[in-house]
Amino acid sequence: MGNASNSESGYALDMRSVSKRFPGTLAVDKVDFQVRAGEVHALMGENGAGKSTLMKMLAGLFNDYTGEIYINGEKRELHSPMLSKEYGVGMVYQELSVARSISIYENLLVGRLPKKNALFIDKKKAIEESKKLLARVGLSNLDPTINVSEISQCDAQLVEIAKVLGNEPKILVLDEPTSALSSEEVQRLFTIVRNLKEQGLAIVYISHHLAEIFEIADMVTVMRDGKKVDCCPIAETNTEKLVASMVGKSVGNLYEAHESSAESEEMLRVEDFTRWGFFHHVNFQLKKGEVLAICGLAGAGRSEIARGLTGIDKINGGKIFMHGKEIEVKNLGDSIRKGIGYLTEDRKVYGLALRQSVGDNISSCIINKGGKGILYNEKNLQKIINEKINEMEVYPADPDRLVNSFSGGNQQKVLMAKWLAAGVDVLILDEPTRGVDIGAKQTIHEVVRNYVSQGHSCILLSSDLPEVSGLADRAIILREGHVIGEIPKAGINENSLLIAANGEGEYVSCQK
Amino acid sequence: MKDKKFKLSANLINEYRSFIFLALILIIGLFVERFYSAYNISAATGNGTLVIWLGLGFTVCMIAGHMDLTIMYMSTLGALLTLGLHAQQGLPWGVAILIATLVGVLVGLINGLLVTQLKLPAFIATLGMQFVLKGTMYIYTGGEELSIGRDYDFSDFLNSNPIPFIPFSAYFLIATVAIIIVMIIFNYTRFGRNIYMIGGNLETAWLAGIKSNFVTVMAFVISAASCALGGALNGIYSGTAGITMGEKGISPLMIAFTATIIGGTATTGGKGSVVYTWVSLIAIALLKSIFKKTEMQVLVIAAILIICIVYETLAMYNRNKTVGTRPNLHNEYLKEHGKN
Amino acid sequence: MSEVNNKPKTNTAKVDTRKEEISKFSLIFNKLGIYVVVVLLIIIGMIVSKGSFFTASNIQSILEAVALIGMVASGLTFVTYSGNWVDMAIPLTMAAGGMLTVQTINLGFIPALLIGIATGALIGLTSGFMIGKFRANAIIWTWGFNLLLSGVIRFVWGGKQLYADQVANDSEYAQHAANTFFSISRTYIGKYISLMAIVMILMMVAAWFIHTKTKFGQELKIVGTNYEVAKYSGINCTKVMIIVYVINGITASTAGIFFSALRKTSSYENGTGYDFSCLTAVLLGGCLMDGGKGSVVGTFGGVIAYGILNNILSWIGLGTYEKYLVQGVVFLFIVWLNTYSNRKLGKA
Repeated sequence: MGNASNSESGYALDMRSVSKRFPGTLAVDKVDFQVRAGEVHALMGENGAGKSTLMKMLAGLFNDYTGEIYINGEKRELHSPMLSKEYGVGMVYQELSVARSISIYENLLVGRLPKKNALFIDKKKAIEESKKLLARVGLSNLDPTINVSEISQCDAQLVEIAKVLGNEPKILVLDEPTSALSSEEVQRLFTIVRNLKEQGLAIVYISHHLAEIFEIADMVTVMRDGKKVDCCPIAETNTEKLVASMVGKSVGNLYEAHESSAESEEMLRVEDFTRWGFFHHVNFQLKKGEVLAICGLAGAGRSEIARGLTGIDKINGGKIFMHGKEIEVKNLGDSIRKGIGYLTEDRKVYGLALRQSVGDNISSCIINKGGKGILYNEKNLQKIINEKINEMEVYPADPDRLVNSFSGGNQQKVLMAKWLAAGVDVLILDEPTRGVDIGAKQTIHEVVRNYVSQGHSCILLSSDLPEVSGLADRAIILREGHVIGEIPKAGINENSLLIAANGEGEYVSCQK
Repeated sequence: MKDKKFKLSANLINEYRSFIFLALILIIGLFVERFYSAYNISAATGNGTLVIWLGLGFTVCMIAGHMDLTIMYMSTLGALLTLGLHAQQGLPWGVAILIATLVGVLVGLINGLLVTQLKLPAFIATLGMQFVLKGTMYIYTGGEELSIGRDYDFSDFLNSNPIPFIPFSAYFLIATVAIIIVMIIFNYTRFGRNIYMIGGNLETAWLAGIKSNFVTVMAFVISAASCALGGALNGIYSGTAGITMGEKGISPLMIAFTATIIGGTATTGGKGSVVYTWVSLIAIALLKSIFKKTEMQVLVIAAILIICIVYETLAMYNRNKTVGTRPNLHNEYLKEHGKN
Repeated sequence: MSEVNNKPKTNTAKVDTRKEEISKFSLIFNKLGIYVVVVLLIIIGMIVSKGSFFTASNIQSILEAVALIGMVASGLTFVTYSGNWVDMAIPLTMAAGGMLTVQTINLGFIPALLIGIATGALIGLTSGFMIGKFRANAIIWTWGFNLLLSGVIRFVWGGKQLYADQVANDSEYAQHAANTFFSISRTYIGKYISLMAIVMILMMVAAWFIHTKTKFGQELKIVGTNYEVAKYSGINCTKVMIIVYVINGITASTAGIFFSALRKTSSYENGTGYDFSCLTAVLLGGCLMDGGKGSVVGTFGGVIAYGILNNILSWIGLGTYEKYLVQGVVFLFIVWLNTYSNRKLGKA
């Protein structure tokens, strides 16, 4: 294992004044970054701050960076993933990179299956070795011969980490490892990370979640605009300081107290809403002008309820009432006509047609308003498109620009604009601000408040607890597909939400 | 629990559907006159051997996540070259076959480089290469059919049944040995497992340091070389070769494709086996001896292919519908409905 | 709320201009590039033909050669634009259109024509349903479906060729219908412009109109770019895909009818090779294989360029078979250009 005392500098990883230029931009600008062995070092920054580029550099994905990288005191040229791996860098990527149709042991030992002789592989040895690796991540009772497609998401994530550990890295990089995990699973992961730390690995931990950083990290480095702006032990900083150095100016409270604009009139009511295996007997009511949060851990069935409400998935039972009248929703198009819209999570996969223009994207929900009969003319929609672009402050405000040339935050604004243009009464927001910069986040929140104050309603599905506590007027708690309680506006804060989502606390009224 | 058991056996049936297909053909064969005669078996499998080579190539590429459409013209080119070199230039068989196979390696190399270096989709790239090969062959032969001319010894050997009491021609046995060799390479060597890996998840393979470009190119080389070799032997086996060889009747390319799908190779790559393809190809070869009319053969083979495609599509569609079901909620559903 | 809205926005995200340049350049190139190629090809044609390029007979032969390809390509544009590369069932859709028209010629020319076209529409409907509703892999499905159609047609007609004048019974009505059928591919309007070319241009105009001026065209733009996004924008993707393949089926079967009228015979082999040549034309026209970019105007240019290219090859003295070699190389080059510019776009 990497013994730091051997090296001159005392660092397991020492990047000195490294830079990487993309055509037109300097993504990483003379950054110094050091990690000691046996330390969890958090790397933070807004999207586009350069932290991913820095880590890709470490993984050997670029062969044209400048600057010097020392690993355990020795200067290394990391010009290919192979080299990088050989020198002891282990990357766990944000997206799962296991092959699902292949068995676990082959995934674990990919590229280095043990050989019996010059020709053939040694399956017995491979299985033994993979069992050892699985034990390191707490999966000792998993059969390594089954295919990855047969195990759960969390286990697949751990297999991924085990795979990287198999190369005996000295430096382990975890890039947003918790994005697909529930909070219990996160705790499981943290136990493993602490274990690895004690084994003397240098761990780089990338995350947007401040709470996670404070829980697991020893040191934190903050990047902004490709430069390192801050580096200090975690004990010497706090949330406000970190956020301030990330955004470059000190922000006050992100979420100002607001008056609920909810009226007594009912907008939407759902009775005995059921899709077998996903959510059972869900009841809730949404008032006009209200932001209702459905909160729950990952996998509680939030997005599935949204998909059921908007007709994307067939439901097995239950009734939907809009304005007191029962409606039936056949598909999403039908649902938009009847007044329920669904802003999906993951704009790149479900949200935006990236290769088309902003105008085309914003009008994609209202194509049928683009002309008489079968005819379509974009000019008819130009007014509403421009209006929504201005309302969302999309920059640059050019409807003919292709969406993929915008930054992440502006793309998310375009997505929001698209659903504002749809003009629905009830808008379901699924992770409306995941992975966007704070400026865009503020704009989106303002627009949501504005939207409900005009007599519409929103359902908010978000894992970002400060966001829920800042925006929601009421929250219902979903656990394992059942509604187990409700939190009134006065009681909503990060703690109460988290406790309730775990099925405990004063607001849980019935426990299945 | 009953549900699970049923699912398991359904999966098993699906896994071994090529064997079931073969068994069905063999059962039908009981009612067909002279189906089980040594001559019929030997001739049917011998005539179906060309597509075994093609199926081998197609499956190898499909496991790597690509489609190789050049296989048919590759085998024709192999046959033409061998016969041409032997009859016109007077080269011995061994040298002629070797040259044909090397040309196959070259074409495979080109295919592989088009896919890995120019990043063309394999289907489209090999679609274009088909025409390049076709044009080349016309320029080589001027559209004439070639035949062996003299020296039938080797041809006779390929047609004979070398192992007593076993009604398989030497040509068929050679192809079978090739299948077994490829099977061993694919299951028990690092290179073979790497092919599965790049088919299953190219990025992972690349990040793990597998030389994915090299492996992909090798998959195309194996495919083209085996087709060239098979075509060369087929030219000697049947005594003639012409450019339109593959275009009469049912296209060998389509048979290879059908057999690969019936054999259960995933169209996205990463899953499958040449042995299953081999079994399906034998079944198809025997099927051809049951249905003598080409029209009937095409219809039956196409119907089976479409059934397989529809089955896979619907299975995927249904799987996507239930993906993410929570186990404890599913149990609750069963409980509630048990009560009702 | 007004208080919140008045907050100054200073830190709006910065913009990366390089992306704009690349995408604008590619757009212009994609739109007009092919006509530059057409002009270049015409100049080459004038040189290699030693001045006889613009003679009536040459223009006529070019138009005739591209008329069928153009008809199919007008529909294939929709398939490529929808992100499904190519419809491998085109050859047998063409054949089926021709077969059915000839078989039912006794009903009269117009009914037979409509039956032929309806066959194509039905084939398209099936493909569209499988691909749109059940998300079958478009290439695998259409390829397999092509074989099935081939099997059915060969089985039903015993692999024989059909001649309209033989199928038609002795009644004057049927004979007249058969003669009309033969004449559609031999009618000239004015001196040089054949009916086929006119039909081709009309189909192109119709396709252009559907593609740019209708709600379906706009929906297709989103579906072609990203199917999931379209689904989550409330667009009925199944319907869009079905329309795409029905249009493609109709254009292919219409071309098949003209083809069998031209050859005076109808058989299962009628459409062989059209999938390839039409895809070449569509890709020449700047349609991206990943979908969502391309235009019918471009496809028209692609078709013309393909026709002129073949014409030039004939002038150089290449036979049908030697042409294969050149066509294959040209195709590979176009596909390379296509994926290359797509990668450039994807990066932007």
